[in-house]
Amino acid sequence: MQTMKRVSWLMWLWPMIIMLSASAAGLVTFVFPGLVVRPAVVMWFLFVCPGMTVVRFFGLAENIIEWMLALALSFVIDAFIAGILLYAGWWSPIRILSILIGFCLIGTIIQLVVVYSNAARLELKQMHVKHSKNAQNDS
Amino acid sequence: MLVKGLRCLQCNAILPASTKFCGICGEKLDKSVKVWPIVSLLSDVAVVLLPLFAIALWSFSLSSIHIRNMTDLGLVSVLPATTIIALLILMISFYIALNQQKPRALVLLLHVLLLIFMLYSITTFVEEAPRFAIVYRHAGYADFIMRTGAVDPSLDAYFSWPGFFIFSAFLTRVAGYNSILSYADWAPLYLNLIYLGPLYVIFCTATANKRIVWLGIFFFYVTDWIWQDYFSPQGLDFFMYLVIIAILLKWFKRSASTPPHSHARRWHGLDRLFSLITRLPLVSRLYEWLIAPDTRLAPVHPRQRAILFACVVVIFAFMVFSHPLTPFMAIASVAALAIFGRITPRWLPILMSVMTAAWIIFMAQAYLVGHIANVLGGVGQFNSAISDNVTSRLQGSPEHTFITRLRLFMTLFVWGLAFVGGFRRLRRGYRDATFVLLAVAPFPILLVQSYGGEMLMRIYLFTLPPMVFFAAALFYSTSARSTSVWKRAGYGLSFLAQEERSAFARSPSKWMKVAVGVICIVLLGSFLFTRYGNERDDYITNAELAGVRHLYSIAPPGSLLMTAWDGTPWEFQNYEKYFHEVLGDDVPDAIVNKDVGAIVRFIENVTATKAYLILTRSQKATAEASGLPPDILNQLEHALLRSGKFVPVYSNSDAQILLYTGGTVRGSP
Repeated sequence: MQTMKRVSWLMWLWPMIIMLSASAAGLVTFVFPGLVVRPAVVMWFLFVCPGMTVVRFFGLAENIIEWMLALALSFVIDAFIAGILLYAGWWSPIRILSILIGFCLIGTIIQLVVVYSNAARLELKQMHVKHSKNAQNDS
Repeated sequence: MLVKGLRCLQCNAILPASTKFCGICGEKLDKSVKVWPIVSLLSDVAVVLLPLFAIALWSFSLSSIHIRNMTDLGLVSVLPATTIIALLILMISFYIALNQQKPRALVLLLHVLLLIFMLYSITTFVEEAPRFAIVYRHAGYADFIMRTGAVDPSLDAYFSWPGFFIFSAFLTRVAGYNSILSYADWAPLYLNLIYLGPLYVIFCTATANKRIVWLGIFFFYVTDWIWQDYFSPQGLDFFMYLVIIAILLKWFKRSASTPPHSHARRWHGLDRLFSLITRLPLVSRLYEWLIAPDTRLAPVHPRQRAILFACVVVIFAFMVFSHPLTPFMAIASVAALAIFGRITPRWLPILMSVMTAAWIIFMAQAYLVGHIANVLGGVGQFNSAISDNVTSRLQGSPEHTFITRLRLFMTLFVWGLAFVGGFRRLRRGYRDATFVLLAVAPFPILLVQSYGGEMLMRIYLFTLPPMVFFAAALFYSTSARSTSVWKRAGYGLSFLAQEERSAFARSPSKWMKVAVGVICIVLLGSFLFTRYGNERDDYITNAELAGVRHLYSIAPPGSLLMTAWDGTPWEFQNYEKYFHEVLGDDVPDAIVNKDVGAIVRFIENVTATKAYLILTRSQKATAEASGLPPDILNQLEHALLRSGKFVPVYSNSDAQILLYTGGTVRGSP
């Protein structure tokens, strides 16, 4: 719990947005296909999320660069998955979307694990430093 | 708040009146300028309120636009004064924001976003249906993929580069639409918005002076008139091109510590060639200037660098997969940078060339076999390329010719501004070899391909970012030189230009400020003509679209569908099931001479179940703009009906459909 508190909420923001967007895209496509927000939700998901899932691993400092790469990579990932399925003779927009949702969810889970493990490592390191200082003071 | 303060001429910081030295840059304030903070407060408020007022005024003015009254001058002929005033207010506000003592990036961003919205979405609001006939053909490609789940390279060249259309088909289906036409009209706005990010990054790699960056961005949006940002592979691939260039310039520039010949063994041949060429004194200086390293480098971890390189490769792979021309533009630009050692790795253009060649050989074979003469026929045909790209366009109605001449003039004007700006920066001690190479690299492609008369326009597009950078730098570059530029050109010498020490360096002189204002007005004013000059031909009415939809509902598969001239919004459904022919391309003389016999002979030569001719408003407008006599298509329609070989089967205010009945309509689809 302490570890969770130590991690800035910003670190969790994008994984949460991607997870919510993937879930929303799945819902409006498979469960409520008649919703008027369907195009907006699907376009948001397809234009931003696949790329942002990947870009979050790059550790880039600037927001503008993250957005630029996220948009470009989203188009690339969407088009490659759609293209591979088309040339393989398995064209199905629903199948492509499912793969993309799966890709984003898996990527996000890995991200969360990485964030959590980094935070845990940081905490361990800090505890170790504190322990060493205490040991030095005692001696 | 009302106490008079001092402005540091070095970094523009506002300081208390009693200050002797600037607390920001340390400059002595002997020659500082006295300023009233109240004035700066007022301008701070104005630059937020004015753009909001401009967008409100612009929105209200749209209802006064009567698109049907448009002449061959295009959209500007029906724009009310309020629309133009709104744009002027926005421009003035941008000008004030840019020349503030401390310009704010968010305020400038607001202006640019509103500018993009006002300039690039206006047709979406005032026109009835998605503009531009080609968009409807693109809808047909996506429709084919949606229906069949396949591509057919024998059907159309675009199916040899189908990435964009596969993505469009997938997007359309999962968004719940039946056709791209439901959202294609928003493409110019969307694409121009996403160009903003890479443009900002690219400009920031050359200067820290944010005035140059933002003015360059402003210039880009008031000079990008060539309409490649419609729903097209080129529009998206230009974004990909910008992203690749942005990544390479930000993280892959050669550092001053790495000499250009670090891979001496591998590049031995190339370097020996250069060493021979550079024995001439002037060439030697030029070469030294070209290979001098950039000073603005972004730190990057080797792991990040590897990942970013992978990004460049996959983005380029998408380009190869989706457009025939953009990969060559990218290769030309990247090769120019790599050859002169401005980026590493130097083998990147070779990898890009191999990827492009592999796609063409293995996946675009069908196109290559049938069009090898088209692909290679233009090599070295410079006169023919100029004729296709320039001379043949200078024909048509007087207004149309005026628009074409204005486009040519503005192209030369932008290039001229860029040349003067680049020269001024050179004289002031900046080494912009990277941008110079990006500005010239695409031009040699004109010698290889005329791209159906569009190559010069594509070159204009791909060279626009460096050109507008230099044009903007003309006004805001401060001196960076203390010694000759040639002396500082050698690699290993790092220096920081004055503008690189301050994000918003010293304001230019009064005359330069006036010049910036005048140039902004000229570019913005001319943009309304150059971008929307063909709007009378390009806009599509609901009645036209209804006519074409009716045609598809009555024509059985295998029918011959004809238009008299270009500009028809068709081919958007069941693309492969019909023969689509434009008589203006196949039998142009028959149209001009109203030769019914020639048209009948043409129809007789096609094996089709039925033959229909559709005449639309946009065809008539395009024909008139192309120089055909006014009313020629109406006269043709009367001649066809008088001949007794055609009967009218549908008519509305903007579309007429004639069915051919006089000849032998035979064969199977």
